[in-house]
Amino acid sequence: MNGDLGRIIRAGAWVALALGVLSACNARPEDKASAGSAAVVESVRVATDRSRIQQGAMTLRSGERIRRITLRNGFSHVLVARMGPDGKPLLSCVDNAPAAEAFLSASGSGQ
Amino acid sequence: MRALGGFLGTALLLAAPSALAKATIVIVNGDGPATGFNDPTPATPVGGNPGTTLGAQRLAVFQQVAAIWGEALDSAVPITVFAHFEPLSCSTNGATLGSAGPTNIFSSDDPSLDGGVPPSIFPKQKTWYVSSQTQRFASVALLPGTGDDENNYDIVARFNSSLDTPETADCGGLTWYYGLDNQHENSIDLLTVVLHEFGHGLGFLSLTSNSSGSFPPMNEPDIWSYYLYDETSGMHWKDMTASQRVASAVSGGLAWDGPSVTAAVPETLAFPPLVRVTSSPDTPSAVKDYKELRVAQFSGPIPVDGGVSGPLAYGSTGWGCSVQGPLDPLDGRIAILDRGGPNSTSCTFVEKARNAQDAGAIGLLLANNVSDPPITPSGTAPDVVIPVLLMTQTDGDTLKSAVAAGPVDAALVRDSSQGYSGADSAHRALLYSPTTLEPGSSVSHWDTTAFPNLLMEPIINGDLPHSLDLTLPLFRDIGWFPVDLSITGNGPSSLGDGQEGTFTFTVNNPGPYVAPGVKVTGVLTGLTFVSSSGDCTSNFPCVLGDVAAGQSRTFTTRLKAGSRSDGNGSITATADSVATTGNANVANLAVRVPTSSGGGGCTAALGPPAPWLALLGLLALARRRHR
Repeated sequence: MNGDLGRIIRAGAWVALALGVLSACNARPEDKASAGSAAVVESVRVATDRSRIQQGAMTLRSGERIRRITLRNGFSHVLVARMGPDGKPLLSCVDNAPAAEAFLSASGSGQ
Repeated sequence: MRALGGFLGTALLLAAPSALAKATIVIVNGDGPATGFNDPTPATPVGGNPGTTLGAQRLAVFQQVAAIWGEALDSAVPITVFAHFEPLSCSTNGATLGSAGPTNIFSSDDPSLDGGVPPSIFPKQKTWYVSSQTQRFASVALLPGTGDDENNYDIVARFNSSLDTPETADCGGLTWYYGLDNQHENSIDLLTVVLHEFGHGLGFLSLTSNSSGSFPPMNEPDIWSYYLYDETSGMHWKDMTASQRVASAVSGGLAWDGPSVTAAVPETLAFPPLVRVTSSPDTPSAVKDYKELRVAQFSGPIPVDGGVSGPLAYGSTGWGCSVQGPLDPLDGRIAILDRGGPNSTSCTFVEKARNAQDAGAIGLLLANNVSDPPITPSGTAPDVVIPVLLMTQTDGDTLKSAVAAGPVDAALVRDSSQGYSGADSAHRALLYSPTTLEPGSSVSHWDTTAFPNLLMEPIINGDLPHSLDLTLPLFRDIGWFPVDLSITGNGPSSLGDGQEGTFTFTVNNPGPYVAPGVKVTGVLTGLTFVSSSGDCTSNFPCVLGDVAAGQSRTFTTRLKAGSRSDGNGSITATADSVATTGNANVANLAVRVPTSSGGGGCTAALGPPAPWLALLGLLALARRRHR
């Protein structure tokens, strides 16, 4: 009895593994697309990260003191693009990752 | 940042080549040997770009952008851009094209800390400006503009070289166009996108956090906050709380309240299109205006007010694709066709428009086939002369149902009563503030309803010319072109009880820029306005009009002392503008008037100064449509 149960468990494990492999092999195209977009979205997140601010001050020759904020990567906006359904590129300028994700996940439907 | 080490010692410094440039924009090549701007891959000159290598062509485009901005701006201090052309993220369904932004922002220090060191270089105190603009105020370089630290430069820019190497990077078919002539067809015009991104770097951006509503550190506003106008509350961002700003950023009702932009709206934007259904006996609910539309890039003109009118027709062919055969006759009708088709890649918007026009249609409405917001139908077709618009799926369904039920009459019209596309009724240009998460960053772009399309919209359209449209007026508003108005005044030094006096004021613009649309407002305390003459003939506020460089406007105002008063006073006249610098815009006039115990005499004229204060604040708002 226990031997049968063990065989059933081992067989189930193999079936599960096989299904998993098959599932991965047949991943829907949009899943692959999402995975591809993730790198673009992440790059937008990094480029628009405003957390690394440095503060300082300068004195002009006139004697006026002015304050300075420096941000590595700058206060950047990022252009992202995807191909439209008409074969023409679609471009969007974003300053945060969710906006980039929204743009890349949008779709058109012909002309 | 990757180490550039000693390479920058030999980095190529490229100044904008235009001899007419009023500002010099220096592109500092941050790429290593044989990469990016130094890529030696042979290339054929294209569209006026003489470069014979990939790197040279990329650099030529950046130079052209530097020349365009350099021609438009004015600064004695070179503006430095640390630029890279390097591999960035790509995927089969999208790519990062590039990024740019200012690396440093500046503000005046709190004068109270040092006892003040006037006059400040800044037009507005305790307000943040990007570095290129700050250096323009200071007339000296504040950043070294050399070295391998990006923070030494005004702007840092990175663009994606992977689009040129499809054999090693799949960017979903996206490719660059390096020509300078805007003939990019299905490629991405690098010049347009660099022009856009440099715009952000030069100051077309809000520094306020849209998610928290907070200002930059020290809780002081940026210059944009003076002009970001919330339509609902009627407040500017600098006067709002952080939570109010957060709400405003997604309100769908955010506008730019700068006078230069407002003045430029009528000559830049067009009246919005609409479909006006005037009759639908069998479906009365369909009779209304349909406003959520996009005009096709190749559309024929849409007349203002009168419009193109006729019965709507929705044929059995639906899509209007050639493969389905010719459309039924549509003489004198406005056709409705569905977006899409049996093979969408072979049935274009242009094809549909040609088929409808050939069938005799006087206009074409394309009904969206998805619930997404309407897109702008793209294409080039000089032979299409009828109006072509795309409407939402919902509106399309409504009209198609109405047509199926019975006759429907409609007009395609640009309605002047609605104001300009992309502006409010007061001609304030709208900023992008969608109520739901949409592609594109909010606040730091014009609204997508602007028509014609603008350079600084979040969705960069393929039909943009290489121009700066409303961007330059916005730069005037934020102080790139300071107008240093002065005002002088004179009048009687004393007035008796109830006596009238004539005061003369002169507003002078020493240049070098024209100050258009100067408006004067005044606040009278204890004095009553009687009349004005000369260049201002109305009560305050009055409009002096454009004041050219080196010219002045003069007006006289008769004011009447009250029947009782508190003593002597003065008039303080202030002429200000959106970018006034210095203190020359203030004039003080002493006016002695009766004291309350004077009993109608002029005893106060002999008394000590200032018991009866008449404060006249004159605010001259300068707006320039053209330099």
